[in-house]
Amino acid sequence: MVLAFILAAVGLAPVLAPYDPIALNTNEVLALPGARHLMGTDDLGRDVFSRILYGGLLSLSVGVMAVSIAGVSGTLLGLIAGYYNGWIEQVIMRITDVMLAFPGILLAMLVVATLGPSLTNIMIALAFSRAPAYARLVRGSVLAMKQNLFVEAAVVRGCTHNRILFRHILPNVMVPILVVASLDVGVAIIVGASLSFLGLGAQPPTPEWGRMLSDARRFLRVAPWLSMFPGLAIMLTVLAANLVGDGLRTALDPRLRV
Amino acid sequence: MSKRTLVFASVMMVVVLVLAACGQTAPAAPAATQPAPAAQIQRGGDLIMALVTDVGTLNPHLSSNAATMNIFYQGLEPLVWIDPQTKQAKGWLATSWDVSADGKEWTFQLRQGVKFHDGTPFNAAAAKWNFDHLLDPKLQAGAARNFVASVARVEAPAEYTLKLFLKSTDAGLLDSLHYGHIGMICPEAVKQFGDTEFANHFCGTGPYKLKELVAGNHVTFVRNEEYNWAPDWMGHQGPGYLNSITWRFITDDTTRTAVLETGEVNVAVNLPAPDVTRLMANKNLTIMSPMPSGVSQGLYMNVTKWPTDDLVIRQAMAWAADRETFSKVAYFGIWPPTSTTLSPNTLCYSKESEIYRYDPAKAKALLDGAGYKDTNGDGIREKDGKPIKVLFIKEASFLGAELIQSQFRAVGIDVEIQEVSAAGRQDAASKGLHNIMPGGTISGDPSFMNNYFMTGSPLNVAKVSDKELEKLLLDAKAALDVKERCKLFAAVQKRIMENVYHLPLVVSPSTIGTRKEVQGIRFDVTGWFMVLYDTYMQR
Repeated sequence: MVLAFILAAVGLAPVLAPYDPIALNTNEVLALPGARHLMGTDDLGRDVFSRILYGGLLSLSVGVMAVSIAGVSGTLLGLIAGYYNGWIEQVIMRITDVMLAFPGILLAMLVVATLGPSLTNIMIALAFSRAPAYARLVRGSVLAMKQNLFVEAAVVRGCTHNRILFRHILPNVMVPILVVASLDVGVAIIVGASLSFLGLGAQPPTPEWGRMLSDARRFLRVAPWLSMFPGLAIMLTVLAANLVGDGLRTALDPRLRV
Repeated sequence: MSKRTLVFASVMMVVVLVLAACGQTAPAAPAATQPAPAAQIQRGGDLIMALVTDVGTLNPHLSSNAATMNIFYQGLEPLVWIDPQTKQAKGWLATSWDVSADGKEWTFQLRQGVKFHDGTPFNAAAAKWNFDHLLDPKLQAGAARNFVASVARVEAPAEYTLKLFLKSTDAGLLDSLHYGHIGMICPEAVKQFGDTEFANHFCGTGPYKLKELVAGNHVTFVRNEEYNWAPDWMGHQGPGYLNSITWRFITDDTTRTAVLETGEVNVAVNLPAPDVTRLMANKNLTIMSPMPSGVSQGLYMNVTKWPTDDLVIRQAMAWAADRETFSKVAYFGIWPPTSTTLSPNTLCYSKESEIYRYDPAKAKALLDGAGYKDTNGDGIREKDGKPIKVLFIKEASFLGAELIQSQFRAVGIDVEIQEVSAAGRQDAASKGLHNIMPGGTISGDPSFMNNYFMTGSPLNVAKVSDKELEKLLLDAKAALDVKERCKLFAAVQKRIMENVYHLPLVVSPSTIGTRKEVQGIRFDVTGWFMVLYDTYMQR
């Protein structure tokens, strides 16, 4: 429900936001939260509430897009690795092993450092660093699924590899993918915000939560609301995303059903 | 605990945090203190100063860290000192000097009776060794070598006479010789311990000497009881007042401010602008920001890349920049606005070079006249279908880029901001990827401008290659007469502003906070570096 609320607020940002998120108003810098500015204004007189709304649009789309790319590419690799044994599996799985050996954020930083700082590159970086997890998960499920009678039946019936993979195996390994993906959105939002916090993501004047937090650091003692609201926004969104993932797992995992 | 309770608990935690943050109250007013008369100065006290960066090596010949000057000036003494008011050179380890008519031969008479911290005497031979060592191509020298770049060779014809022979006339020589990095160090210590180890056996002639150096953490100096050769422009004679001085390295702005407020340190440098107003209201603190000399903080224009290669566009930007608002908003008025390339406190500053003021109408008229029109209604002007868009490459430490962006957009010039690391900035500067890049310099003599506006200089971020400007700069460097120099430098400043190679925005003073008990800090001509010989702690 919280997530639905956040999604609605963020989705309607252009309608709901009372001010232009990048319009400067140098006569109203560092205004306290109040009736005119719900969450106050920042050091350049921009409305924090509007920036949070627009920033949410960015943060959420970065999270969702990154996870979608990671999910789709990781799943494909995992399917291939799990279904066709031999050298192709060896190659794919050793590469994922190497990538999983590094902390995700380090890998993402490497990608951004190579491609240059921007939101698009952050998405690519996040997708790149998350994909191995899906590949490994899917490969495991495929290996287990291959032993099932219905797969053998399909082989006997002369189905093509593609048909077996996508019509018979994929639907059966979808559930864990969905659960991991929903939990991953939260992680992706946090890592995306962290990269922007480090100056590797959104470029000024783009409103982005991590970026806003990092800009607000200088004003911690003078204008604490500047860091409070983006921080709260990130926390609540990630919490909501995790709860949804949690709920999805409870609903879909037969072992948890009593 | 059920899941519902958990969620509730975490939400409550957030609410409590928010309330706690809102509940901050103003601190109680402190008791007022009276400044003590000079006669009451007492020896004693341990001064602790928070610096921003790790000082790195304590060998001044290897160091490239300007902040270390705040340490060098307490333990080392250069040959001369530049008076911050008159900009005239005064003797320090030199007592007098002469220069030949062609300006290439300088003879210094050195102070007598001066001893290094290790007990060896300071004389012309030791001074000659300092110059020779610094000029030795085998040494991986730091910033100090730039200060002696014009020196060809050095001789010591008598016990206390030193002769410098220059490659070419350098009217800025005395300024170059006043920096802490070129303070005299003990030849014996370097010979005995080597250049790297010298940092742990730091040895000079100054009123304080090294007690300990803990890499990455702090440096402590203690009083040199032998010191009795202070030059007459100092406030007293004999040893320094303080028992010890400790420099701690605190990179984080918020932490550095906090330790000053709690009294954990007595002095903190580079206070962040947003906090300065608040700190000024604190009765326990004194905030100082001596006006610096050097090139104002502003924007270098890349004259080799479209669209900043077009003079009209550069001029339009100079008219469109609202420096008052920029200073007020981005730097809380602590860094005052300026529209001259040399900041007003610099030798040979020329007010005539103040050509541009904030006038967006004029900027628009200029662009209209040159055929830049907004034909598609997006607010950005274009010519032959090409929109004016400038790439603004900067480090995170430069504030207010978004203000500049909105001011330029208001007259129809689009700005894309790209934030990069220090290394990324250098790379972009050398490849000329930028259209505009912020920059400014703290320096004494205006001759340092040669580094920024001469063809091929690595610091020439504007990519200027202007024969007439170069001739003016070289002539000014060779002009020993101050009046003649300033006339040439006035022409330099005018030429830079007419061509908008550099778009000045604000003057960039240091902001230093001290606890009320700290008295008698002396600043050098740049306004950024401190001499603590006369500094004492009031009881």
